[in-house]
Amino acid sequence: MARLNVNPTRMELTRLKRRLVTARRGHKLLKDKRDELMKQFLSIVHQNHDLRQSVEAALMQAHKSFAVASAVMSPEFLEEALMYPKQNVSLSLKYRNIMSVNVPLYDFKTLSEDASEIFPYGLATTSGELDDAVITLSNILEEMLLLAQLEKTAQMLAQEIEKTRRRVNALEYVMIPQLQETIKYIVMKLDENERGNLSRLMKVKDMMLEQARLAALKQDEMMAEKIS
Amino acid sequence: MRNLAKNIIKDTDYLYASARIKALEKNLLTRERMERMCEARTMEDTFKVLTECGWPEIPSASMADVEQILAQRRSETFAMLRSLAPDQRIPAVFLMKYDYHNLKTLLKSEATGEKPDALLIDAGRVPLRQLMAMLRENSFSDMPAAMAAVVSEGRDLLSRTRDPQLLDFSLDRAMYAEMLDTAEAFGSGFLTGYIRLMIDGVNLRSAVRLRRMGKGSEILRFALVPGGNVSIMSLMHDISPDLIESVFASSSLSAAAGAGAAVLRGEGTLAIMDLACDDALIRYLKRAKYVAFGAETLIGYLAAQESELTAVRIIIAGRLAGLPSEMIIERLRDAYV
Repeated sequence: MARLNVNPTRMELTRLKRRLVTARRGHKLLKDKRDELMKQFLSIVHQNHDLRQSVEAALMQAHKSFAVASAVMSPEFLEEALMYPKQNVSLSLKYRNIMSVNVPLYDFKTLSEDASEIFPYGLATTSGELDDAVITLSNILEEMLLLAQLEKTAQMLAQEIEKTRRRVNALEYVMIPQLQETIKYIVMKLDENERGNLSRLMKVKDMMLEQARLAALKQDEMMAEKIS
Repeated sequence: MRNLAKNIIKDTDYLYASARIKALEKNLLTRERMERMCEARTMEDTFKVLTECGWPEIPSASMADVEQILAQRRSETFAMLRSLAPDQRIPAVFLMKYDYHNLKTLLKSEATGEKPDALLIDAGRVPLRQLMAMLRENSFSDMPAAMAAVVSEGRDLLSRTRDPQLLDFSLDRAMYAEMLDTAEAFGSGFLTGYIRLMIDGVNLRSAVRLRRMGKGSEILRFALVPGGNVSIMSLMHDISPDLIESVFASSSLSAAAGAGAAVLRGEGTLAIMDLACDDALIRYLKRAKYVAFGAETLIGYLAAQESELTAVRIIIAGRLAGLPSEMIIERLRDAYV
């Protein structure tokens, strides 16, 4: 593992040690976040799956009714019946925070409170199957919005999970080992310096002792010459 | 079922027209031919049954092409009937629905600002271009009087209530009133009876469908069409399955009413009721087959042509949508021939 390109000094060592502590704490927090996001994501995906199945079944039902209605009525009559909508829907958008991901919350309100105000056509020239199609579609509007909300949430959570996972991995497999390696390198370098210093000192000491011994020897010789 | 003697046009004036129509009737789709179309293995075989009956070749198995052929067939039939009928009121009764459809479309498109061109059908008594010009210039003098009377009312209703359903109700009532007036003025008991039965069918279906939509009985005042055999006063109550059955018990729509009551009880489908209503109309029309010559032949043929166009649309649309043949057959109306 490549180490960081830093000066092997004590100050750098303390700085790196502090960074390592932060990285470890960050790694743990991000891992917790990822696990929690995963849990939320899975529960939303399950909900989404069930809802999608029921919406798809209802849509197929509506489609079938429309197919029969359009077989019985000519297309011009069918479209004329639906060209001027009677009911209006307003959609409001809010946000909910899941683990710092802002997911949308849809809410819709129909203009008229009366649930039977959804048929914009007269009954003489239209087929009964059209009623069924309109009723089915109107009933699943709420579910369809919820499905859109869940799918958007799942998509945003998935993106966030991916981002968090990349961060966790970066910390776990790159950042932390790199820091550890660099710390180890600095410690070794510092120890090496220490040992160098020590042996130099010992050498100096030896040299000084040698010099002292030689000096004493010389003095002794001089003393001996004087006596003789 | 002959025309009343006081009429200026006599049954004998129909000798040529009736003979011609009788000859053409053999080209109408019989029940057996319809079933053959449903059960044919390929779409080409389905179309072959039609060409055997004198239909033009359908270029491709797409709904757009089929609709074009249906429209062509419809205009040919009306053009022929216009030239054959000694009295133009006979085809007029059958053309009114296109006039009123165009009127509805134009009024609604005025309100929404959408372009209506694709939804208009140039088949009515008033040519489209003329109708559009009349609405633009607000001069209704060349329009049939009954239609002119209802245009400003409808426009006003739509701008006031913003409720397209009320506009449809009001125009539908005007349409059936005009049909009935025309039939009565024409003096054919057969045609009047047909219109009355049609109105009864509309009222039965409206009552059942409104109840199913969860509407209260006050809306019936706008939705029901007066002039049928069954008085609409008898229906202006809280609609219940028993009421429906008892009101229509002695009419020829009793089977349809039974189906309608079943729908309200949650046992049947609207398709069965629609089918029963249309079958009752065909049963009524079948009397015309036993009339050697007279207006009845023409009326029966026109109505049969319309129901044949619907049948062909059901069969081809159903086959293109991949519905099983039994499902298509059970939705087919009874055949006139």
